[in-house]
Amino acid sequence: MSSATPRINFKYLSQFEGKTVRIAGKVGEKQGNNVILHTTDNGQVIVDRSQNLKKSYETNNVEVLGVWKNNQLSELTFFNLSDNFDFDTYNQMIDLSMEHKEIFM
Amino acid sequence: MTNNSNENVIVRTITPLTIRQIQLSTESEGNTFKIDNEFVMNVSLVGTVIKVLDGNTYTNYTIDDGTGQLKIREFKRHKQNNMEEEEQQQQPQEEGGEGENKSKAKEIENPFENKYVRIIGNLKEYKNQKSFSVTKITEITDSNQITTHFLEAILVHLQRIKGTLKKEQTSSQNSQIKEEKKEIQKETNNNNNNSNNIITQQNTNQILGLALKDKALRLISSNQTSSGISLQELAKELKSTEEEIREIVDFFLDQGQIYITIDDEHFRSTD
Repeated sequence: MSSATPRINFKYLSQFEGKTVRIAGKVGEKQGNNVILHTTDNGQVIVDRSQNLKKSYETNNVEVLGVWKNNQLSELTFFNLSDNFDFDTYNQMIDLSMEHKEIFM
Repeated sequence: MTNNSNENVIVRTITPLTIRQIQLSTESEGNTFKIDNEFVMNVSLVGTVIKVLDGNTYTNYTIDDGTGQLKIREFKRHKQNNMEEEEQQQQPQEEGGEGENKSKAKEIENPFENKYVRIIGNLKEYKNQKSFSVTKITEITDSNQITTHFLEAILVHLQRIKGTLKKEQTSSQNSQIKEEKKEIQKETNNNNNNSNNIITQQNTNQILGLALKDKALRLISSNQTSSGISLQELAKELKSTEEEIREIVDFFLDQGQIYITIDDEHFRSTD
């Protein structure tokens, strides 16, 4: 029944090849249809926005929901996050959610 | 916090949950669900709105919080005949009600698109199905509330499941669990502090202000002379500035708790 789209960061990407995930971070450089996302744990992820180009990111920090495949995150949708978003605590929350997967996925 | 009357159980707490937890819960008594072995009625969720269906008497939202998806229902409030409407809405799934709404419900524009929301609602069982009715749905403007919610869900989950395993735990397991709980508590507090520092400071200032007012009134009341106590004396006793004292006495004058005597710098209590 799992329609989970887990929240992950850069260090967990390898475990989710081909899966739909949520990655949060700071919006970086735009490169055509792609955007660099600086993840909450200081990684860099290429986000392919071609399926969701009509909506623009409205904030400096976003959470992107997409399919992680071939070293790219194909965006399905995104969510605006506030500027005061605490990356460190968020990373720790992700770690804890991985330790207690029973209530997350 | 709502208190739902139920045949068997009244639960007064709000439990932070993930949708996955709701999906996995099957146990119930009466029409109250149990999650992690505890009765759960009022629930808080944090997630995003995927779809909105607008019906006559209620709006259906489909929520996704990253752990699963859930359909929730918010009853519409009407300004007139509020009580009657709500009574009718208590039985939405009985004859005809559900059917009528389903056929008229149409998908509308999502007012929460690309945003996170916090939902407080009631989880009930109705005809062997889970039913979630929304008390409040609000947009989250401080995204740290997302982090905090999931940390709280983990904390409550651990407290409820590990707390019952007392006999089988060894002492090393115990200390490990305590460490885990402490970490979560610390992070939740940190997170709350980050968001709430300003509010806490304001609260502290308010409390200090109240203490000063209290002392001032007592000093004025305790003065039995006909000319009363002067502004200067009050400032000296309370180690405060005359301006601050002026504000305080003005407040009490307005309230009618003190009055001026020989001039507007001398006061007596009306008690």
